[in-house]
Amino acid sequence: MSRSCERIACLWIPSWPLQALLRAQPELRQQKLAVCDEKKPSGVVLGATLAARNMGVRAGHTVAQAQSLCGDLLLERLRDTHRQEAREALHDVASAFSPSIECHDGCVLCGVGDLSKLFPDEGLLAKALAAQAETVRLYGRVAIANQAGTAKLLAQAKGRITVVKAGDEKLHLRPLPLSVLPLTAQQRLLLERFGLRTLGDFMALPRTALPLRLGKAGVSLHRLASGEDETPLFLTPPPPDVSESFDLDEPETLLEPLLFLLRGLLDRVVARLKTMSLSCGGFSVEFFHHPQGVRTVEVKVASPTRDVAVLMDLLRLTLQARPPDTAVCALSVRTRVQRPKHTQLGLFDGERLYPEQLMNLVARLSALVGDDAVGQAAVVDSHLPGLATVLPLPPPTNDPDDTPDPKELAPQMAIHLFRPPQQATVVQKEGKPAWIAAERINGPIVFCGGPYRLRAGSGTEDMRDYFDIEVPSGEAFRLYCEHNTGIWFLDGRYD
Amino acid sequence: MFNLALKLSPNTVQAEPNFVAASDKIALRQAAFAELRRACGARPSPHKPPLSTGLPVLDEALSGGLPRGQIVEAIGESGRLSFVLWLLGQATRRKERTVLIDGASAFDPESALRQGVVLHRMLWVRATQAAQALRATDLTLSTGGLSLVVLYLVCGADLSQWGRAALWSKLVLRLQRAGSAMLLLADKPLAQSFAAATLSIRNGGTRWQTVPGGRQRLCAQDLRIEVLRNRLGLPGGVQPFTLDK
Repeated sequence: MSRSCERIACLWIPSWPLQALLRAQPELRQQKLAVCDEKKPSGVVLGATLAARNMGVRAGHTVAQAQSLCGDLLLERLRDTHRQEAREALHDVASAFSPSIECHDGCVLCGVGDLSKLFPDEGLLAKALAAQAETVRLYGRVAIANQAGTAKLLAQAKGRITVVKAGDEKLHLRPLPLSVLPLTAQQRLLLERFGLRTLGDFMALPRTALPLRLGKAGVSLHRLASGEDETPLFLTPPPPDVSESFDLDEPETLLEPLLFLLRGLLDRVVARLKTMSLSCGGFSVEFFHHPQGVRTVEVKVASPTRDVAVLMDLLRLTLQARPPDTAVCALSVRTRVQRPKHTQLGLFDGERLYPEQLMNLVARLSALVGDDAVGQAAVVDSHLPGLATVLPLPPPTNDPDDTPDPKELAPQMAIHLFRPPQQATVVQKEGKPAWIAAERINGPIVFCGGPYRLRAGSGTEDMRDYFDIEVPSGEAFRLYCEHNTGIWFLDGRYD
Repeated sequence: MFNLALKLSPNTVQAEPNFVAASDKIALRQAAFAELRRACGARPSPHKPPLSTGLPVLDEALSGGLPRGQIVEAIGESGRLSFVLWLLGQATRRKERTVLIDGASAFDPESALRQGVVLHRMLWVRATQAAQALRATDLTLSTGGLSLVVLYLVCGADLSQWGRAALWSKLVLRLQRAGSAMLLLADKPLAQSFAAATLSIRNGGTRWQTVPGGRQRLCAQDLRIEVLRNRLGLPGGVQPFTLDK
């Protein structure tokens, strides 16, 4: 089926205020809940759940009316953050299909004219768009038409999926009620007085006579109702990042309840990332403290991931090391978006460790023991023995490791280093250690090898004399004496 | 083949495979293969061979080397770190990925290089407390895919919480799922009956050499590695192990 590039899909979310709230707090879906505006808490009801509607509560009732109809009605305020995050989620959903997106509260329009290779049937495309919206907990209706206005009217009034071929617009629009048109109260009253009920009735009016009755807007309304509105999409820029927030009713100090809430936020963030086929390359959590102040905790992710369990583990370990010190009244999670890394899988890999798994393990261990305590061991370039550092582990690749390996060697003595070195009291005889007292040993020295003089710094005074000693128990140690202080230290044990 | 496996598994196919991230692909692949194996009535894949220690007597006593999915415990007063570095050298030269959880922060990379350890194939975790070492082991085993996990817990660490049976049974379960070999080194037995074998490393004496000028030089150490307890074969094997300096 050939299609023109002007095809527009509209995803319409009915009961937008209610869905925007339930997206953030899905546990309220089964409750007798009514939503009101944050700025007008005693104003009108913006939406009600099925349980509340069964009790007679409707959008448009005043809060007092709603409470009189349902005694145990739960009233929640819809905040600006709820609206904004739901709108951004809607944008993310559409961005999986098209870069041309016009996004409003409860409605997103996108150009889908060039998707025929991926979706030969437009019905499948509409279903995929609706299904994608459901992954971010927004349940809506989709219509595809040649004009944005037509698609919007059909999505509002028709069933879950509507696809209109070019030229059939009037046929589909004619039975729709007039309430789908964006009319002012005055215009609606006037048209009702004319006895008009459907768009078909409105279409039948002569367009040239409408400005006299409805003003300038009359013509554009008539075009819209007739499926002849050619207004192009007004593109909405994508959100700068993927963020989700939560306002607590009561300030919270304990870490576990906060982690429970953060899990929900991460779930929502990851669901949005999945819709865009992107991954989380790290995130920050903002704690809004009571009465004021914001604390930001950065969580590093070794490799872009969408695994909520991994992200939660990193967050838990980070917060356990630095828990919030005062009561928290709101939370926000902001992610750094990255493209996922792709790995070639093999049928015979077995229980192989994939690079992403290894890097995630390193990140989790770093959150546990610190960045400088996990990685690849390396020798510090120095004359002194026993100096070590930790380098970041090189990310493993899928290519075969062609690094030439060292030859097999005879078993060598290894030293168990004492970090930091233990101070020791040493009695010397003929310039050599003869007796030692330290934290774990106390007694004569049976054998002594050395000294091996090494320079610790650049000056001549930074010299150390190293000795290998053996005590009567058969244990061998490494010992050194600092020239400038004359203090003895036990450096390690041959183990 | 991956697509074929996905098609056989309608429950796991949620999205176009080209759009799936690597971590999701791994999970999808594992689920698809598990379903494929169930559908075919196939038996579980055979276990990987044990990790050879490179010491003939020990390999024979342990039926081939350090067993995968089980703990081998080594106790003693001397020679434990040399034994660990020897095993890490053997494993990393075979291009195996290993991890050393260093509960004493005692690891010396210079000694490791002398032993032929390929450091970029060994993850070093410096845990300053025993609890951290425990959590790090748990995280490592739950990730899986590493050939050898070495837990080095010697010298004065507070090990009061390591005696609990529940802890070891959990670690053994994780270890079986991960398919890794695990070597535990401590001053005294910790895993006890949860370990497949217990080795004792004893000092057989150090050797000193007199160099020109009359000075002495430490040149070698003799060790005896004895199999004290063994569920994999007969106990009692003794492996002499001489270390040069």
